[in-house]
Amino acid sequence: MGNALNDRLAAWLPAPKRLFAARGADVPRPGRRRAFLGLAVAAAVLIPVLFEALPDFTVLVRVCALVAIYAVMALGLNIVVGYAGMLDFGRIAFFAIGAYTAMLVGVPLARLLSQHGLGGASYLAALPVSGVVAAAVALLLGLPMLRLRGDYLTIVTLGFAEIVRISITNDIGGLTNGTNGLPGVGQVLPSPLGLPWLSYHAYAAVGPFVFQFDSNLYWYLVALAVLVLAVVAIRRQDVSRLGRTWAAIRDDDIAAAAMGVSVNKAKQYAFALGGFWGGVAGCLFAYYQAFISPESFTFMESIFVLAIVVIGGMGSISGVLVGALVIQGLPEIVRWWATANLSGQAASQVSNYRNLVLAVVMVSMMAFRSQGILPPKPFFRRLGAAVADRPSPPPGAASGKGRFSRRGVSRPGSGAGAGDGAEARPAVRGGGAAAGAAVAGGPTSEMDVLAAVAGGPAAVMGGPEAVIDGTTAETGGPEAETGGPTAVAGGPAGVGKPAAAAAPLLAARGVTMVFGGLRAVDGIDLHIGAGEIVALIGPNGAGKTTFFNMMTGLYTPTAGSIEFEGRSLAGLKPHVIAGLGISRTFQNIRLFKSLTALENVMVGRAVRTKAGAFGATFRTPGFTREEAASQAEAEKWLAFCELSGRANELAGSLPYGEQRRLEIARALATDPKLICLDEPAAGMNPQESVKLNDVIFGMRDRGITVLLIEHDMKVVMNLAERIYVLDFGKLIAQGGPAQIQSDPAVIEAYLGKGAEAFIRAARRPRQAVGAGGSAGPAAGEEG
Amino acid sequence: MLAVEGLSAAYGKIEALHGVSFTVEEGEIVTLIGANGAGKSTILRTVSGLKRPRGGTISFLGEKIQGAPAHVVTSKGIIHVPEGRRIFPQMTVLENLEMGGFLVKDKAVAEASFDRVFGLFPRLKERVGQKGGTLSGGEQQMLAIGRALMAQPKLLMLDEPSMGLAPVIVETIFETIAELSRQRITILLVEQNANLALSIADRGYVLETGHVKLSGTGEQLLASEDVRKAYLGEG
Repeated sequence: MGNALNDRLAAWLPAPKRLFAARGADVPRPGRRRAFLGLAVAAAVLIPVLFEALPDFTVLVRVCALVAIYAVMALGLNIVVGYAGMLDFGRIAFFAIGAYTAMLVGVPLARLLSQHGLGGASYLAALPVSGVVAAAVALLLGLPMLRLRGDYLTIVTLGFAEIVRISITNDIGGLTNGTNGLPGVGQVLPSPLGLPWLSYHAYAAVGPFVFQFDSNLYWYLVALAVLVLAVVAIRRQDVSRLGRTWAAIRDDDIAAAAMGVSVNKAKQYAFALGGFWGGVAGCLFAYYQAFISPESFTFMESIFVLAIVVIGGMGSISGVLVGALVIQGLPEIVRWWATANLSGQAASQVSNYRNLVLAVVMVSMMAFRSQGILPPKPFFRRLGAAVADRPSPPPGAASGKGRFSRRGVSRPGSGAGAGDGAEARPAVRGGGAAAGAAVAGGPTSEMDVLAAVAGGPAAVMGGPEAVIDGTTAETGGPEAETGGPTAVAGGPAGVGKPAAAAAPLLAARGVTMVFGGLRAVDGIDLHIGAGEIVALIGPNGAGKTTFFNMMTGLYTPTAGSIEFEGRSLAGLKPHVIAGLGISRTFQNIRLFKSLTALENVMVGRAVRTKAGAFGATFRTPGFTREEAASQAEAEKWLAFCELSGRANELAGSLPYGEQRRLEIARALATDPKLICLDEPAAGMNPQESVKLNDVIFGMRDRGITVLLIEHDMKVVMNLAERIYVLDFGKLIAQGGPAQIQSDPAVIEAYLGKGAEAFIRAARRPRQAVGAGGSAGPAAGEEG
Repeated sequence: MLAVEGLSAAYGKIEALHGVSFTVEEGEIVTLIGANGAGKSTILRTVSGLKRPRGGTISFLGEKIQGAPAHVVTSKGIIHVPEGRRIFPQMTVLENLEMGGFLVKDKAVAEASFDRVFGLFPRLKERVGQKGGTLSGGEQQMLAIGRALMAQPKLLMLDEPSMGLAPVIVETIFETIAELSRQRITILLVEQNANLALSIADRGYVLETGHVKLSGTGEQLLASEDVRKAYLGEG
């Protein structure tokens, strides 16, 4: 609670580092934070108790209770609006459902319990029951509703709230007593918990003060306790996997789905949890008021709660608490002050104008500080110091160039990120090719990488030496690769078809996509073998990205089939496809801008983890383990993309080239078998493109198959083993880099008459890389 | 024509430009190159009035324009083709072009502008009725430049016109830039593809973290060891 307040407090304290601290290093100080929280809770308990003791102020206790109750409801709404980004105009419906449930369950329960002298305790049972009933209704409503997006969803929430209110007014099922309302439990039984010393008619005299522990104060303290529970639970959910998926769908639901987040499930969670706290708040309200009627649950109340969230700061718990105080508390305090200090007429005028003043305050807030009083602070959220304090790994030799071999094996002494894991995984991932290697008796993993990568019999044959002698392996790599696509037709060794072609990782047959009358993609056949780097090039608008969108489930092909590991992708949702092992980046960078770099990558882990609200709320051992593992994995991929130093910075604040690499890190965190990169070099300068080459070779070295859309011919010709060329939705050419560069149809449609210059340009860095490392002959020279 | 002196600008607390100075003479093609985050786009945004400078002066044809709102700067003849094209996706090609000529009151001038744009980009003429958002990336870039030309630019500022375009389209765009230069339009070009930009430019400035680090003619910079190493991806 109160990060900005925390800052202000900190300004009073000597903290010399603050002046020079970079944004990323601006990490929480848990000790001070805890002290502040303790102080806030103490104040929240003591101030109303003091009010109760001072006769002039007693009325304010009632205001405090209402503020606390509305704060609980607003915190629930904040999950829906602030975290998950769904605008909800009908929040009061769940409040009403909670209130009526409390009455219908609580009153009989209180009667029952009173026979055992425990009558006052009925609310302890009614609170969770109201919450669960409201959550269940939210869940049911969410099933059809949450498929809607944006304004449509908002209108449905508005309609639902009206349905609830009208049902109550019309005494539905004879339960609600219509406009006359229901009398409450408070009047039935005065002694909570059945313990006389807890009776809210207790008095205590301390010095000059007389404490009347009456029902207002009693219910205020109960509401405060619930509020504290809500704050703790919601904050824990916010800083968990669940909170990250909410932020992800709020920032960009398409990117979230592509990273394996089930958008519907995340929305359901948010809506149900929001409903739960709405119901709990309703129950508190019913017990506190001891009487409820439909008048308390009008559309205006929904807007009121929404105003608390918006004015306080969407997505910020402390903001919502302050918002509740300002919106719910301030007008009442002004009225109280006016009644006490002004003459009758002036007082009534103040009462009349206070809402006007509040309205002006709200309008000005939106004009000048639209993010709210206390907007959320991402740097303080979630992961904090652990990451920032960790030193970034030493930079790779010679600005990262040559960290990965040109083709094939990870060289000894390659950078921090490249070494581990590269050996082990390809053996599993290599699919057919690796299997071939295994048959040839290549037990070491280096060998498997090579075989998987080259995908050709030549590599298998070169294998045994490779095992013994790393140098041979490295020369063996390019050799096999030089054949590259030619090997598909016969190969240097001239032995049959490569394993990759025999069991393609991905096979598309006759894939067609028609938009209106436009055949954006028209009967494409292509296949990608495990461990390959394949490029898809073609003029803008040729259908490349459309093809990606079909592969990743964003579009359903009009005709044709796409199979991944022999399984049809037809009709599968994007998050399911991500789960199968296809990940992607986007042409126009779709990062989650309100999350830090590390959190972005951790969202990528969502598809491989499963902790829900329960684990997050109670911090179960399983949850803690999973979170730590997610973080470690995400840090690994950040390091791999040379972004370790940026872990705690907001994704949106990174320079362009780093945003591109962050998107790659996020995609890699989903443990893909196939990664689809959509123009990864766009907007990068040549130096950054060289770095990108290293990153892409590095993932291939780890056994990840790469499909690449790119216009930077230097990058494409350097990386790709095979290239498919699209034009107007049709495949016009396929083959190795050299073959493509000399194909007249490709030059005509895509490369342009300057193709020669581009080929020359493409050669230069390749030789540079070759000279700096192990690559041997560059493919550009083969033709 | 354009003289920028000690320009500084910041996003929140983070200063993006620290006292950048450069000039563009009438009829020149001047290019700004540098890594991502060096401040190239920020310079264009500040010159065109989309962003307020924190300090320094910008004078255009002898008139101080720093801090003037974008529509005033536009009316003086500085037209900005933003990064990522930013065409109006729901408007037709024709409407996009008409928006470009928003400040042009003279009908005859507007007619002549249409002819010029369609002369440069016959592809746009074929697609006048199509919505901007349905064009391919290359066509959108043509439309963005065409829209800028409708406003009668004296100084045309292009931010990464080659971004995400097929090589064959990049050629067309750069041929167009050369053609515009022949038509006496002064050009300030920001490009990632430093090779291409320096080949076409009369002069260039190399930016690094908000400073001008080097300047010289296109050939000089292309030949410079530092530039080759840092920005051309060589060595």
